[in-house]
Amino acid sequence: MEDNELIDKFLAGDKSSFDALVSKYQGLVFNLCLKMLGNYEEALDVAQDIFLKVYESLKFFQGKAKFSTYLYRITINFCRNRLRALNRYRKKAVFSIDDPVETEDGLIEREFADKNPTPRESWEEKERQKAVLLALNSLSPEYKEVIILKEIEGLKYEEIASILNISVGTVKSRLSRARDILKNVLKDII
Amino acid sequence: MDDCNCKIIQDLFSEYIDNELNEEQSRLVREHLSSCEVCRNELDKLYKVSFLVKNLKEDAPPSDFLDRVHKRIEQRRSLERFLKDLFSNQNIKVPVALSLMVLLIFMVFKVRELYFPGQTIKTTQVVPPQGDSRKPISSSQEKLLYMSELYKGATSYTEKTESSSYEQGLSEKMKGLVPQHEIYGKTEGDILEEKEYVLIINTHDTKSALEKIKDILKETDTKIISLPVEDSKTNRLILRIKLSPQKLALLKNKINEERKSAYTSNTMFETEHYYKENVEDGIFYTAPLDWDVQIVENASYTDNTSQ
Repeated sequence: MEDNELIDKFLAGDKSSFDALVSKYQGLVFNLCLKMLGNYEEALDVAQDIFLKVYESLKFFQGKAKFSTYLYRITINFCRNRLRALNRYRKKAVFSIDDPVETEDGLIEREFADKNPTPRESWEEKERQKAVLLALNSLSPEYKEVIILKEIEGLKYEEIASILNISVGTVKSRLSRARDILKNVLKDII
Repeated sequence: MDDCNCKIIQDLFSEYIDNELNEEQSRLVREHLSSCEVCRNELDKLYKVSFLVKNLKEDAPPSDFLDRVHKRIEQRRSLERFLKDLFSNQNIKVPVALSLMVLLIFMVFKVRELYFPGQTIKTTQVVPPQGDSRKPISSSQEKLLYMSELYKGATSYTEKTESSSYEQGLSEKMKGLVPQHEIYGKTEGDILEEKEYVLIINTHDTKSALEKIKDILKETDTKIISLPVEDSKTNRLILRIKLSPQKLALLKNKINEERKSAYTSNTMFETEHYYKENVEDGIFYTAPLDWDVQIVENASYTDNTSQ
């Protein structure tokens, strides 16, 4: 069922339509939070808040933009706020180059749980993932946002511009800059 | 020339790999690539970076995610219901709620006073009146020498804004998230532990300033641990004091109160008034009390009069 249909039904009183929306987008939202915040627990917490927000503010959603754009916007904003709050109270960056990215080991464990790579492959792949995640987390929020929306979410420039409320030109230059930084940070493995 | 081209071409790479270049631009890039190995390598690196990020593992949210969302919605609903009830019931709940709020706000302010040792003494510009009549030069040369001896070896003078580091450090401490010893080396005991400070008052009338400050120091239980030095050349009154940071807040408040209260000085300037602009809050007030006060932690003070 189309998003707009689901929304209409939900606003008309059908709770299960909201559930359908959650089920449809929970992966997207959760992963976006996970990449932005780099922490499983935080991502889980923020993702729930995001859907709570959707629940409460769908009645104001005018359908001018796509629902997914609207959802992306909320997600980015919530992640930004959470990052600011986390940085403020922890004094140091949430991710320090010395700590292995917190749960990524856990994540990677999970991923490889039911496959059977050879031990060597598994270790190499894990290390590579870790390096990329660290590199991603080292980016400042504006760069991280465009990279994630482009590479991981696969969105077009216009949509990214719309979500972040910046011009397409800014998207282009931020992307270019972000990629240059990553190229440099990851120069040992590319 | 080639370097120039390479730069231009490489600037287009990001859009190139996203297929966002138009026909003309794409053609230009491809042409250049066919004859430039350097650029080919760079483009290759860019593709690899893009690939690496694209292929980061995804993770699924827990299977009970939907239930969790429902729970949160329920929590929000019951909070809203509670608040609605609280404010709709005309009887006892409203005054109770309101008085609780007032109490809370009051306590917050009290706690702030206790933990955040107040503002720094503001330094202000003194506009001396026309016909500056200096008081007769007192014989403070000897006192000066004595004081230079005392401050020998001290490091250079800096004005510290203690409140901001306190505020930052202590507000974090209060959140309980930063171990105490990390907060700029201060521990809980420091608020009450007495420390040494240097009190410097820039004023034309150092004599009456001395009288006044002695009173204030007495009121706030502050120990004076040095002979006051009156330096008439720089119009400064300097003394070393000892008190706890907590008392320091009170002292600063008292000094500020003194500075703000208007009175005419009978001793030298008769009915002439100083006009002073308080730069920080933009308040204009008359205060013949031309005190420009600095309180510096002892370790960082050096006597400038030798210059």
